[in-house]
Amino acid sequence: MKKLALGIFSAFALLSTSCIKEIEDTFNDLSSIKGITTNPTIAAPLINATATLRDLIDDFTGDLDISTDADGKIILKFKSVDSVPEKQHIILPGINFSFNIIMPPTEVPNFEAAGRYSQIIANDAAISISGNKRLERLVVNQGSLSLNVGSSFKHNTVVKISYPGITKNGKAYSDSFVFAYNGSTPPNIIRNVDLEGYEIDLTKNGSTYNVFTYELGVDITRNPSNNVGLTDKVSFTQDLIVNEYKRIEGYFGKFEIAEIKQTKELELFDKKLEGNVFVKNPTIKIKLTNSFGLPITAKITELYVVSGAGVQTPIVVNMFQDTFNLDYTTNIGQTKITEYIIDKTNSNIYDIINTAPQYIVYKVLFTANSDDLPKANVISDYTTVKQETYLELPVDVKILKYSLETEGDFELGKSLSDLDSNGVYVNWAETVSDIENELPLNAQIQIYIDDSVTNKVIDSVYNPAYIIPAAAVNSLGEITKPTRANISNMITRAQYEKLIKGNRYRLQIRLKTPETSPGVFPFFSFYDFQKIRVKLGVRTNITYRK
Amino acid sequence: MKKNIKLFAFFLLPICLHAQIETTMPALSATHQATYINPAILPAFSTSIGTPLMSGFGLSIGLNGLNARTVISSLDADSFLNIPKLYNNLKGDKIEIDVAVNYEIFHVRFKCKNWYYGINLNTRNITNVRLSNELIGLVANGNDSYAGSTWDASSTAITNIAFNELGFSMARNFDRFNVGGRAKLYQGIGVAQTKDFTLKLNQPKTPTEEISLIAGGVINTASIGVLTDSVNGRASSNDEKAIDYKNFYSMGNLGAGIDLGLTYDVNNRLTLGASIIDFGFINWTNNVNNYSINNADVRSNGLNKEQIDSGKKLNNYLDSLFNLLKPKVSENHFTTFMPWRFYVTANYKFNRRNTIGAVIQGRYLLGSILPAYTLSYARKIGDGFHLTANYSIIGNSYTNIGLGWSLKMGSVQWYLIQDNVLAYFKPDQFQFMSLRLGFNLVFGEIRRPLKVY
Repeated sequence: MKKLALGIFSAFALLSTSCIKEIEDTFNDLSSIKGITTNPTIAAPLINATATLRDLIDDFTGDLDISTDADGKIILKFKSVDSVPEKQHIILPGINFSFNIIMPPTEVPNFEAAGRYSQIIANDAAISISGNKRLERLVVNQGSLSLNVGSSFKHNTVVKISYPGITKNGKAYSDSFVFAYNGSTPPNIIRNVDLEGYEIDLTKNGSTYNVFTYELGVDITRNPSNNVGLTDKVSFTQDLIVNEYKRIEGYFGKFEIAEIKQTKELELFDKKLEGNVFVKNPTIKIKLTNSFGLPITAKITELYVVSGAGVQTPIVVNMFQDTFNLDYTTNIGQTKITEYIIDKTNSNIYDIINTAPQYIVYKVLFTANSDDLPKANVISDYTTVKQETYLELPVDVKILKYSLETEGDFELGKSLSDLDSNGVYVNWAETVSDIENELPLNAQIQIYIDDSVTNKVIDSVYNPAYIIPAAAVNSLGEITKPTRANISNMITRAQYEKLIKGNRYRLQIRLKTPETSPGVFPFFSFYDFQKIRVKLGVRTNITYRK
Repeated sequence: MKKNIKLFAFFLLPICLHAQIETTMPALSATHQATYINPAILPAFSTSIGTPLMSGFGLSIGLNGLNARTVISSLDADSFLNIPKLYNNLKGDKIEIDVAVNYEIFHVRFKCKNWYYGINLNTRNITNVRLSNELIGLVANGNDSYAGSTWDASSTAITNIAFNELGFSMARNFDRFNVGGRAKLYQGIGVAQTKDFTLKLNQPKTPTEEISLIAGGVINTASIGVLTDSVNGRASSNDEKAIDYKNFYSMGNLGAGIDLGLTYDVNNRLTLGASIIDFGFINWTNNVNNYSINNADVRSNGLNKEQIDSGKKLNNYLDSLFNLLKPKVSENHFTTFMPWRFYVTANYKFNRRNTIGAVIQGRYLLGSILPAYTLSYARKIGDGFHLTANYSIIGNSYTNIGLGWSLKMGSVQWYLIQDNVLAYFKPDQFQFMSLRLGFNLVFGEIRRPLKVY
């Protein structure tokens, strides 16, 4: 039996051995596998976006102010704001004086008999100011009153000073100085008063102007052991300085307030390559907010636009050929607004805008009291003229072959190159689009890929260019229904290989108003409810081999 | 050396039985290991002992949907595996890979009066990987090839269970009946198992329309460490990720199972048998993790204008999509049921030495039954040599010839079983291969009288 078992085992082993080649071949086939290769087509939706014209313009311009009118019509606004810097337009002279008070010799006997002598001086000091200017009232923001009083009498002396025109909370400023004689002359007394918040009236209760009023009283009580000398006196010195006022009233004469110059970039137009956009009713609205309490005359000394080629074209505005006046208030804290509208009825703005300018430049000079005839002026420390200028373009437009272009780094090229070196071989790619357009605007889109070193175009992404058709319109230029389009664009391997060598892209969009009949391009209104819906998917066939 | 290892590996592989399906062992009743198929089989020896290293080793590999030929025929001329070709060469709707390892550490079986008692300790590993063909299809052709339809890889399922099995068996004869059973205590070593796996992609007709990915299911793991870098936002530590080898012997993951068997002598020649094997479960409690995605429906129809304009919004959008697919991790105990099997046998003895038989068997795992049908012939040659051969239909594989023998020399019984010897001749086309071999020490041959009914 053992022999039999051995025989069977041997037969089995022989059988197994005879199959070794088969097994080895199989194993060799399997172990020879170098890697895997596959050839999938990957498809995915990329974009499902809805945009209005407002959204699209936002993308191109960044901070352009876009609004709508009551009907929803889109209005583009280029806003420019500037203002006259707040400053102290009026410089006030110092009110300084000094004098001495003596006891007249004729009064000495009476003094010695009665033991007392009193004197009151009420006086006006004139403000030194040139021309026909008038200072009437002011509220001090920063200023000081410095008093230096002394007495050489060998008697007890009291000096009282009062300023009816310097008040705070309705109370006039006054002060007193006491000199007690104790065998030697008492030292001078000095007072320094912070005048912030004080009101100074220079009209003597409304009867005049440029006048500063004060009252000084002297009261001497006799010391019987001492006489009155001929040189004994009370000395008084005042220095009043107003560095800043909070408010000042009067008449300040003719003076130049400021000259404002601004250069406003008209985004949207700055990327223009060619063609024209005709805006039906362009307007420039100028709003001048004046908080000066005096007549202001404005003079536009420069107003022009600059094209992409640097050509300056003046904007001619009939009403601004000469000076024009701003409304003003005579009440503190109030402002007056003056507005001007520049449109095609009073200027050449229609023609100007249709050249798609890139900048608008203007310079305005503001002058106060240009007739130099005294009248009530009031100025506060925050007084200014704020100027707001709006270039408003209601999007009632017709566009003829208008092209925009923007560019940027094409970083995708390097990423795709890296992909290639990692075993992914892109055979072809296809973009598939489903577009619904409610806008009355044809758009032709192309992306050029450049070599930024040689500045040469390598290739374009779309072949032919990507076209978004405008909404259907009738003979009156009204939109009858949105347009739907399914567009696919194939990128071949050869094209792909070119594109990934580029490092800069240029997005070029050519816009054109649809024709209502051959050669007829009406103005179309664009509304905020008109949308363009774009669904974009991509299909890519790759070979992966690694 | 490398070549020898290759040859050794490929020598072993074809002589394996397919995973979990055993076509030859039922006919080799002279060995103790036959009782792993039907515990009612009464051994031919009053005592059988299996010792560590010698007792027995079983390795089963089953392939469904592909084999080596499928792969080789999918190679390009320059030996790159062409995935689209592979996808076209696949059969059925899924690839299934079964691997079962059964290492018998020891067994003792002895007779006491009319009863046969046994104890065995085995270490086992059962792996079943089912991959939907559509996974390969997606890699091969891309999602665009499913335009207008739903790509569905939800039939994908993975189970890997490693466990120790301690069995206590009893069997005896009652007239025409032999009755036997084996109670088992399972000690889980580690597991990873998917549950309710769903993965679908609704691909629109054109790439401009909405695409949606539906993903769901749970992966339960135990004792294999955390699989993710973070758990619910908290970074996983290296200790948490590591496998703790104490799991090989700790008593944390316990389960129980049973084998039941019966044979019935219809007459003195025909014996019918039936058994159910590995009917049990393991309750996993040690270092458990449940990674679940609750039927995420990730939809995208492209980026809207805000997302295109704002990098922050784009990132938020992409994060929201990825977060839907990020599994939530919990630590709930769970139960896995063993891949149980059933056998129905019929043996007809022409005489003491020649027997023919038929087996219908099936294995249940993850909701499906893999059936197999076997016709066998067994012959006893001399006193201690048993030889058997069989033909089986396993699943949709019709070319399975099995061979096996047991040879007793002195007290040593050597057995070797291989189910698909044809794999020797066409090693690149095998689908089921299995090997079971080992040595038993046997004492006291029982010579039962031929019954006459």
